[in-house]
Amino acid sequence: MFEYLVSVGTLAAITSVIALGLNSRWGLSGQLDLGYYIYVALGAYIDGVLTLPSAHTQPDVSYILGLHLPFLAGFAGAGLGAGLVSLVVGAVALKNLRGDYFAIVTVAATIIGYTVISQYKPLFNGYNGLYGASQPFAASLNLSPQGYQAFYFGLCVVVLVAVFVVLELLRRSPFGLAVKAVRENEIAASAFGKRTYLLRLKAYVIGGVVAGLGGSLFMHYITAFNPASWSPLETFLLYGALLVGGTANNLGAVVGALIALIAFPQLTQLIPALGSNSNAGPAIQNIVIGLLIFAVLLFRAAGILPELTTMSGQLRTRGAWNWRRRATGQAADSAEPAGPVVDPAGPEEA
Amino acid sequence: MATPARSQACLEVTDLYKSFGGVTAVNGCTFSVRRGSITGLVGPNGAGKSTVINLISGLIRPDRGAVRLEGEEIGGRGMEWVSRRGLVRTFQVAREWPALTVLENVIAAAPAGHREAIWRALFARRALNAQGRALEARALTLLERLKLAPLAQERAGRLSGGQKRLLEFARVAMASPKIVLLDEPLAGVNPVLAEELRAAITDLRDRGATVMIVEHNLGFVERTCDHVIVMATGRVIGEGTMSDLRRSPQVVEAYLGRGAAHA
Repeated sequence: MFEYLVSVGTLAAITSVIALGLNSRWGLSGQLDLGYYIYVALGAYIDGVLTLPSAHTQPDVSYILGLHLPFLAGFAGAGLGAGLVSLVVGAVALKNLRGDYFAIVTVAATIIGYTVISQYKPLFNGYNGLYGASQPFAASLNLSPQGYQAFYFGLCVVVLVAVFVVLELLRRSPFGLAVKAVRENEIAASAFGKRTYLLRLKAYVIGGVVAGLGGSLFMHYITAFNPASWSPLETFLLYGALLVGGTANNLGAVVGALIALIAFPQLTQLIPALGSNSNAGPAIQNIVIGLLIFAVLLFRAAGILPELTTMSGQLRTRGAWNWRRRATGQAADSAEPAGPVVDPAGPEEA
Repeated sequence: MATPARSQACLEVTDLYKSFGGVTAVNGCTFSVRRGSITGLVGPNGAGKSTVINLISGLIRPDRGAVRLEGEEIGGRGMEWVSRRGLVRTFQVAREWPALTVLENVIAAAPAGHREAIWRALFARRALNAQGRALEARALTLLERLKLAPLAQERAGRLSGGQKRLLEFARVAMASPKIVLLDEPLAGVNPVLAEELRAAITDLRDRGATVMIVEHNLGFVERTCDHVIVMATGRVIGEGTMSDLRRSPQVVEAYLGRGAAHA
């Protein structure tokens, strides 16, 4: 039981990191990126080829590099590599494309990436993928298998907390406010001098770096990675998690990932097998997650934790709780006066 | 020869042309806007007023012609660049940032400077917080003047049409512009709000900004503007005070109508 819980907990932490990366692209910046998971895959692959020993040591396996570097180098390389690819792809795709056009390009990029990586064996060993990834710090720690499992869980939680804090600082900063302004109305943002292209690109690259870091953790968790691990469905499931938890809310992204991608799949495993159909279990999982998204969109369209407003100083707490009124549909006139009020009834149109 | 006029001009538009397909929207438009004035830009529908505003603010590129802000050429440089030079505009349809609060809308309109750098969000938080408090105080003062302060924490998308207009004006004031182009600021605004807006516009001018207003409400233009430019078919057909314009046969014919000449 302990092993099961720790294993699920580790997966939950990694999935939350990955969901946070998508939240920076879609939630904060409003980019409908349907190819997000490719950056998770890139992180896993880059980490793999940096930390695995040279491919020549095994027969019938081929991949680039094989530098046998320590985990931290692989982890940093995964973030940097995914970030760099995001920079190049984003620089082209975000220049002139918006909304659905941008989304279609991300789908095309995913299909190309998927085809190249699964067919071109010298890169990341083709469809068989990479396997045999190291256990970070295992040699120096010398723990029992359970002890090591608990350690890796702790490591993933530390990364999750660090990523969360950084993204939360960014969300509350003038940078976050400017990115949201671009998301809300790009022309108005340019009319007020915002560098809209750069702001969108930065949010895109931040999302890519976080995806890469998540991919690296994932690689060392399952110790193998191949194209079967990143079907296009993964990206859609992540969007489902954000919709459930609350788009543009970092805590919401984590809550959504925990509910939609961890709790529901784990609980639906308890459903007894239906007759002889072994595919029924996964199918039911997807159906249940779909129903969950429907339910959330019907009854709480902004997600469990809707987007927060960012305020400094005395207004912060009130701003943070503003969503409650919105969520419960109370009248707007309950807005507390902020500072000395000239005329409380004034702004209502006659 | 033009030295005295030039030193007084905040904005100069010279021989501007723009056509869309076969339609010439702006056809050799030339005028200048005196620094510290409130200048009206009027004319019949299709006269090219909004296109001129779009050309000046950098939303679209002119086919040819020059736009100078304080003597610097800004034509075709793009809206972001022009805005950072101190020329801020509004739109015929209010373009608020709906999911942001009213207060956030105003704060986000302040000139960015270096505040929006990522490293500052992570490593210079104390300085950012101090700046943020100062901006917030200024934004609240502006909102109070426009009687939007009670709605400061409301999401901007929930405001009424008229309130969005006022919010747009608060954002403009927050941007501390050298010159403001207001594209039909009264559209959807009731008479009481219109007077508030007029006071705010005058106030902005008194603080050193130059204002240019495109507006169809000629009563408002007459009360607010100290100089009025009339456009028709893509060029300027007259300028001066409203009473000057009522005496111009060309302006009466093209825009004011015969009844106005005796008003």
